[in-house]
Amino acid sequence: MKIKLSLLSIILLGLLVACGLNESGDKSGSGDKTVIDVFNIKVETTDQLNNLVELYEEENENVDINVTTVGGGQDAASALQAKFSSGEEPAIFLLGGLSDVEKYQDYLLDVSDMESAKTAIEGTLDGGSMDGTPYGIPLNIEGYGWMYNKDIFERAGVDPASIDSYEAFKEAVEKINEQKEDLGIEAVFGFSAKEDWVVSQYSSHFTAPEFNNNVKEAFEADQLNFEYGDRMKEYTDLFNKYNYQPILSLDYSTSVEELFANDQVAIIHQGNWIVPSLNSLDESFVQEKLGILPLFVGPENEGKIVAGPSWYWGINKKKDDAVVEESKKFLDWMYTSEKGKELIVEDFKYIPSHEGYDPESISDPVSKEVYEYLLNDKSRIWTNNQYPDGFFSEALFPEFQKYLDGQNSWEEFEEKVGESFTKMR
Amino acid sequence: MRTKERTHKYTMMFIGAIVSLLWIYPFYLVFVNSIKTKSGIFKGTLGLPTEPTLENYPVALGELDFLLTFFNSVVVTGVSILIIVLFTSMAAYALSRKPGKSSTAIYFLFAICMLIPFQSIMIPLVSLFGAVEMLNRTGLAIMYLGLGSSMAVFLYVGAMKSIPKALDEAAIIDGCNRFQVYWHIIFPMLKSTTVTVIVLNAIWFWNDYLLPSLVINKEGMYTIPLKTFYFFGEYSTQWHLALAALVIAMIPIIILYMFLQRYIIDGISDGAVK
Amino acid sequence: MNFKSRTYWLFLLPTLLALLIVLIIPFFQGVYYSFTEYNGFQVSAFVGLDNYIKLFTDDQFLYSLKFTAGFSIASVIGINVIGLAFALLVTQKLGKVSTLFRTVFFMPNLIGGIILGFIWQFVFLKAFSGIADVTGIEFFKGWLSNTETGFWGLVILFVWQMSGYIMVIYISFLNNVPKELLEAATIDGANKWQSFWKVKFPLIIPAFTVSLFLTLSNAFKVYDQNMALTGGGPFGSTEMATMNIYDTAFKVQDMGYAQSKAIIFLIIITLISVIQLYLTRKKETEL
Repeated sequence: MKIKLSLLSIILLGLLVACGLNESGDKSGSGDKTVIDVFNIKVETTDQLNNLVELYEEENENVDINVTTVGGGQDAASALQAKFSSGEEPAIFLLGGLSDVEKYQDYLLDVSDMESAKTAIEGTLDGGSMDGTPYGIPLNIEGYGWMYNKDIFERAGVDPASIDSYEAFKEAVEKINEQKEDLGIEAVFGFSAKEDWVVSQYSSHFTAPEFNNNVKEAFEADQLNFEYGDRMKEYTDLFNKYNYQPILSLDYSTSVEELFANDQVAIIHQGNWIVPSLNSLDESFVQEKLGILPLFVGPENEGKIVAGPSWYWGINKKKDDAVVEESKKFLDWMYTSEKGKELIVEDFKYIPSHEGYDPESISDPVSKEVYEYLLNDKSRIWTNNQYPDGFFSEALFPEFQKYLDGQNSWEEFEEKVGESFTKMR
Repeated sequence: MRTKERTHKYTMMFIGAIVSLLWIYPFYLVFVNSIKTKSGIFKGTLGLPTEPTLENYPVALGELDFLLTFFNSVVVTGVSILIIVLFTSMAAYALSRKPGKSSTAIYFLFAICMLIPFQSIMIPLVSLFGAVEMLNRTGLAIMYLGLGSSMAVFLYVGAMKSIPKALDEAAIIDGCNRFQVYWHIIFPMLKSTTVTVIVLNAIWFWNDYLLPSLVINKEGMYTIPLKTFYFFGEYSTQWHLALAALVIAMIPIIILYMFLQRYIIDGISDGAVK
Repeated sequence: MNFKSRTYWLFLLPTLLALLIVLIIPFFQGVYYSFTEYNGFQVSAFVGLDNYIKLFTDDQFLYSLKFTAGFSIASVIGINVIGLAFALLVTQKLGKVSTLFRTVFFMPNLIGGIILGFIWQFVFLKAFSGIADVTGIEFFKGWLSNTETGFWGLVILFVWQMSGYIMVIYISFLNNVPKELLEAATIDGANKWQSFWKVKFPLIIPAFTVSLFLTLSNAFKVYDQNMALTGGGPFGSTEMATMNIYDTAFKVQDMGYAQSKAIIFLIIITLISVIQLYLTRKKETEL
């Protein structure tokens, strides 16, 4: 007994020591290689990123890149902060909005002389810039709006091209609703009001024009007045009325993979990131049925979708010079080399945020559409990325759910959310 | 009289059987649906699978990175338990063998600390350990020692009261030093209390989510609850995979329970009642 | 032959040190943070009692306290009634079957809150709607999509998890009831029912105080189950106090304010525990 116990103790203590060494070990790196720690939040493309890193390491044997991916259920902002407060600051990490840039400004490298900053599409650097200095390389372009099923629209006799105003959209929805049974659908809409980020993104359509579609203005605003709240109410009432119920417990995968992918609902509020997951269920769906419709908001009620860079790569300037240099090289390679470009479009299936890509190489029709909206100036900014920390999950989302559930009026919604916006800024 | 007793017995057995079935029904549901295909689950959750499949399991095992995750849980739980058993029994030994003002004061301190709920110190704790770069597994083991010490010290002090001091004295006269007395004589006599301490803390450490989620930030170091949670975040309503993952996450503990049932239940009741 | 002072402190050192840096220093630091504006990196202002004043107008926090209290009361009743019933059932002389029952009832207690939360999410969302489809009973529809079903969902989960634990406590008290007393009662012509109320019941009253407060403070501290089952939704209506504190701290990053909530939480838990200690001590001296 005693011997066994002592033995066990030794083994376990050994493990502890080994782990302790491990934890500090990979910072110092292996041999004379330069080690770059990358902090990734984009869970959907983890495999693709790892694959790209492997290729890069093959070409550059002096570099060792460690990717840590955090995400899924985890809160990205606090995960990154924990990274910093645990003394394991990564060399390259993803920034969500300007509030992240502000918070980590002491660490962030001015990227203006990098090739991947110079070739970024005009305007895309704004979301990662402070006082005119760019601190982040845009990861990609993502766009969202009403994703719809072309096949259902066609069978219902609705021409998507004819939808040029909110009224026309409403008419189309009602027309589809009347034929619900014939079309074999459960409901017109599959808005997943269980997901806070879906609600947050949806709100961007209506808050972007209030801030003149300007990232900086949105970030600096300490008031949210719902200038376009009436339109938001109209849209909200419309989908709430014709949505799959119970709307409050409808989650992302039920909405996208179960209902939308199986032709059970005609319209959902999502973006081009659902393409890979739809492809995994049925390749033909995206090619033949998937389309995107704009929302009509703003002074002229223009039909726009939200499109722009969702995340930015920041480089930690407090790392050794060699690490910083290699980090810059890596990001430049990723976005401007031929191999990198090829992977970004074909493997990641991203909409590129950089120039020098052939639009035709974008593999699916919806991503192309999003790209065109952006290039034709028919897009709004990702206002939701500039909201105060926690605002969308702790204030906007619960109040919005209350409105959907009939627990409070629209006026109360606007008032409470506006108050919280000021308080949390 | 006889028949009456027998009817009573069978009624009780019948009730027990019904309730037991009801009680494990959620486990059954999880298991039975984990061997269905994705579309099988859409079709119906209550029935048996029409074409049972095990193919969810390799996928879930891979996604959970199970061997590594399991190993991480073993390391975190094992090391923390070892530390807590060793150090708290030592502390309790000192407290019980040297009565006096300082021992009473320290004992009282342990009692007060037991009242502090974790959430009320969570924020400064994370800041403090973050400031000294100790948000890692070593830090976690230290936190567990601090958080679990009161309970363990009480249990050990209680048990040591029944060990006569004459035993120590005899050993010291024979030339043992204090540590030898503690390690060779006292500690082996505390076996049943040690089992209680191990059981109580093992269940806690093994299943804990909140603290490790704040402390362990490295993907390769996640324990089973952490990994399960993140897995769910990614795969929610990919129920076929998620359920297989749940079954996998539960298997180690259920197997252990089958073998060590008596110790576990005795340990729990000792811990609660003493 | 007393402990040498140096050895004495050496034996105590590791544990006391851990206690100091894990509980005592953070406790005082926490009290300090609760009077400041703190974002996790630096303290930007000392705000005095502002955080505490703000608390009383924070509808969501007050609501989460109320919700937690309601949840705790419902769970405590459920757990203790079922736990006691289980204990009585498995202490009947049923032979091997008793052990089997005990094993089954205790099982959920061994599994972590996160995993249990997901299991029940599946049961409520998928299995319940399956039952609703088959039977057409309204009751099984739309679970976890509104406050009421969210509340009862949490209670059911927690009762299911904890009853086995409380059962074990009751068993150990029931086993301590002297056999002679029960035999004497039987000889006097008491039936099972009477011997329970007249003999066993008075003797297990101390078990109630232990169990009641144990479940009460456990119920107040629930986090994992809440997180995995409902995530606080819909619209924060099933958000318990601990989750509210966590979200304020790590999502809104308003750590000073979150800490003031944590201090209020501490006071509530301490009150519960002190009342428990007082009552158990009182009971013990009475006996």
